[in-house]
Amino acid sequence: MIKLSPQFVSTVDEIRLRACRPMSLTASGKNVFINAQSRICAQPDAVCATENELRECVARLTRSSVYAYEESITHGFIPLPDGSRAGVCGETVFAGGEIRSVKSIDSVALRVSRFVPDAAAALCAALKSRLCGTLVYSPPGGGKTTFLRSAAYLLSTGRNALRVGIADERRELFVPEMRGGMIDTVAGCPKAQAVELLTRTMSPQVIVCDEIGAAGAEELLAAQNSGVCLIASCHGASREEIMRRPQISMLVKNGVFVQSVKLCRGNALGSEIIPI
Amino acid sequence: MKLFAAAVIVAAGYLLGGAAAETRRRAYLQARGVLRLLYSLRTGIDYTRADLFSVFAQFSDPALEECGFLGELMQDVDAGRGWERACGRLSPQTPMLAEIRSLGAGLGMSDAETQIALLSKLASRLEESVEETRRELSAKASSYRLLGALAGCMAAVIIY
Repeated sequence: MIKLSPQFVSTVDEIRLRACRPMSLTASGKNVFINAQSRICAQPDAVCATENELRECVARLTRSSVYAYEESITHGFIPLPDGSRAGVCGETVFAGGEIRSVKSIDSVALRVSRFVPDAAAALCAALKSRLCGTLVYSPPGGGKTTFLRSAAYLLSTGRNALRVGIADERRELFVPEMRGGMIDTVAGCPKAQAVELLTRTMSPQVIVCDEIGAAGAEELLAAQNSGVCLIASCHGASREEIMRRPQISMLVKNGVFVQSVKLCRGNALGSEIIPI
Repeated sequence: MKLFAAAVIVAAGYLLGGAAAETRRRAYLQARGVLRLLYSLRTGIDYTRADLFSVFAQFSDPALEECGFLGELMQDVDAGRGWERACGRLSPQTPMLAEIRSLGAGLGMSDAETQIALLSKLASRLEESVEETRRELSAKASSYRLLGALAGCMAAVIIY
């Protein structure tokens, strides 16, 4: 059993367990290893998780029901009830051009879910006076999901509250702390379908979705053409980098995104609004 | 005095026969309960992808509750380990006890298709075994007592 100080624990963003390999933590953006004396150490002295411990971890994450998470596991994650998620990978069964199942889970990355209500205060103040499509970007682990949660919450509460729809494909965007807002959520289905469903049935003023990629760019474009403001995120360190991706470039050219928010992570989550 | 002692031996034999019949009956009821639980698990996994603990929580069976099987199932976060421990609460005479116990090794930890196949295979074999035990029990329940009493008579004759 490893015991860490509460101060250190509060900075931990990720815990990574690997079968028979060193366990690591990501705290304040840095990867660290822990030894059996609960101290930060060099890699060779780090505590390793056994196969049984990893199996028990997966059993706890899935309530001993891996089959209930089959679909999400093939996409590399297990959603947790509090809005966090555990990334998983291992030996896959690949057939018919897709991952059918994960035969054995060898690595688990436990991401700590955070809710920082005012992280997107500046963006939301600007959006409440003038709604426009916004693309939030940062490298992986840069706080995009935390920022989007805050944006959805702030836009849907307070003065001039807006109807917000969340396309929560991975069930990690909506957390219980956001219940006070005017938020409708479609969870567990691909973003494209969720955006279409929300637009058709809930007439939201803003749709928030996480990590847009190659799939669903056309549907996102259709949603924008229906007059719904879209706030989405993608991986990327700079504007040039994200614009090199054809789907993002297509969405920007078609006016889905008018501005972007670049996230920078120091001790706190910082953001910069830039016209795209 | 001898007559009284002989009567006591015969009565004891009769009661022992009854107890043996009761043990067999309890083992049969427990196996039937496990069979019902397997059906519930299969349905839960197949239709709603319900997690194991939700199925366990919604399931009730007097024989499995009485022996503490269901309580034991909910004690461990690892359903497979809990299952193996719960099997320790079943009567040693439960039909196919070893096979029932071995289900714990893979319980919940594979895809739905494999789980359903695993449960179906065990359920169909257990079904046959339970049916066989039921037939045997209805045919032999009264003979257990009779055999007990006869054994008591023989013991009394040999002793005196």
